[in-house]
Amino acid sequence: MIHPATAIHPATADFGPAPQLAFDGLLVGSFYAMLAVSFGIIFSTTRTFHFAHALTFTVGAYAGVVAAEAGLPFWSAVLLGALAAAFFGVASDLLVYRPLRRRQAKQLNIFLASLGFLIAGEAVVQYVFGPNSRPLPSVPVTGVQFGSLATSSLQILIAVVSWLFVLLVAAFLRWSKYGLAIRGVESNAVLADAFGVSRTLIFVLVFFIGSFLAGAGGVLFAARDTATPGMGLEPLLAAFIAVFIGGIGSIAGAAVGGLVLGFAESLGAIVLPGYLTNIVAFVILFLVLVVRPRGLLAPRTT
Amino acid sequence: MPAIDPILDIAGLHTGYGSREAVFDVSLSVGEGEVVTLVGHNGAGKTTTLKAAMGLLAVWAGEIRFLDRRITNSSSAANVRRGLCMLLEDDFVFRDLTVAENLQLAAFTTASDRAAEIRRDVFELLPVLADRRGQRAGTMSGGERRMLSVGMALMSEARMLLLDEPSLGLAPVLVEQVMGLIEQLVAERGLSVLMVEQNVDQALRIADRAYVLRAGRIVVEEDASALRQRSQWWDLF
Repeated sequence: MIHPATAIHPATADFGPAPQLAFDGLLVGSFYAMLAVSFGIIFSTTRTFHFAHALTFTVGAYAGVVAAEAGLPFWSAVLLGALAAAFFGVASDLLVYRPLRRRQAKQLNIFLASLGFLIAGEAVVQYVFGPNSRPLPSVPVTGVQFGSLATSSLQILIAVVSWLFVLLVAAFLRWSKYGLAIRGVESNAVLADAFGVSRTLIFVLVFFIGSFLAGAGGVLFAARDTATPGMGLEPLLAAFIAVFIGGIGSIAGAAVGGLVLGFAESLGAIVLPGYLTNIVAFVILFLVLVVRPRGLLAPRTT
Repeated sequence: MPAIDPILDIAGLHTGYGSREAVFDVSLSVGEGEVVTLVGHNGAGKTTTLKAAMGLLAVWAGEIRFLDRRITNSSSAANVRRGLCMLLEDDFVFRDLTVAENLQLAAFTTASDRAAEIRRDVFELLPVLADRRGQRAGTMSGGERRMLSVGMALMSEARMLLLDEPSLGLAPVLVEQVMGLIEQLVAERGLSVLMVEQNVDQALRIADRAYVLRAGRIVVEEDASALRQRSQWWDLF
């Protein structure tokens, strides 16, 4: 049987399509890594299962599309999309989650509120922008060749920007005063409160950072693909699977989880027909949850 | 009443959790440089009183004054800046952070140059923390973590400590050490202390005065020495 993947990627002498698929996996995994960090920093600090993070992604993408359609250069569109998403994320924390937390709502109720918010938000996006896909205009894309490996300049750019953001967030958490405060709230929120670290402020901060990354991701995704009202769901699922694979509370874990997911989805095409590759992510998640429930790189807590 | 001006003054405090009232009309005061202990059974409202004073729990009625200013229902962040610091009963350190990071975070409201100065001072006072500065707090023993929590209180430039069960879960020799450290801080730095303790003997040994709480109400206020001499003080509970 000739596998579809072999037809798409011309076989190299010894390894067949594997090197190209691994390379594709690296590129898409890098994007997942950034999305996982964006979801992970919010979830591990606030313990809010922020399903509407998918909506933040979409809002960022459409803001970027609108900016680009208005004639702004690509990088300004990315920045504007990211900022719009950041403010949107902060607003969703203050207006949706904060009132629920005040009433000491259960995790499930917060999750349901988030899900409802996502569905309503997608409907609003569809109402305002229409159901059709909206491309990001005038993105320069050229083909790039590394030996036998082929990709596009945009894919490389997305991967580089993704790692840049992941490293920036990691450095911020590791070395800055507020990064330490975020890790403190994550470790022991009551104690952080007792030492004068305002939980409200820290929550706003992580929603801003996580949503900024998601928004940038949304614009980049729209540049590679197009913007649609329902575009956020699949990236969100990838992000949260990556977070659970890597381990909650670990930036490195989220990034590694994203990479694992990217490789698995891509290399899964060697043994599975294309329409089944989505299953690979869930199989890996299942295996990790069975063998190592805390995730691959979760912080050890005694 | 204390002979000296009170640094902390709680008057007619009512508070609780959800709709359940746990503390009824509690009034107490702590003088500058004084050690006052709050004793009573589990669930008598001791920790609840401390939390309300610190701003970690809403005050339903009554007034709390610290350094002659009304601080009723002000945020814990504001209270830390004023010099109030509470050491929690359990989970009193950031287990996922290193010793150095714990100290740094405890100084969140302190200016950074001042924090560096206090840190040298803390390392001198508690050399075990200097030796372990890179160690994750969660991997330290209970006694070391207690020492760390005291170091953290100093980092916040506290003038008054609210201690919730500082001896809980510690071996007797470590209890002596922790109590000794508290005594030393009071004697050398003029810190004031309001301490909740199950270990009544230990608490009365270093305290100037004691209040006995029963079912959310203060039933006795007495000099610690007088209370210690009662042959049957536990009847008061």
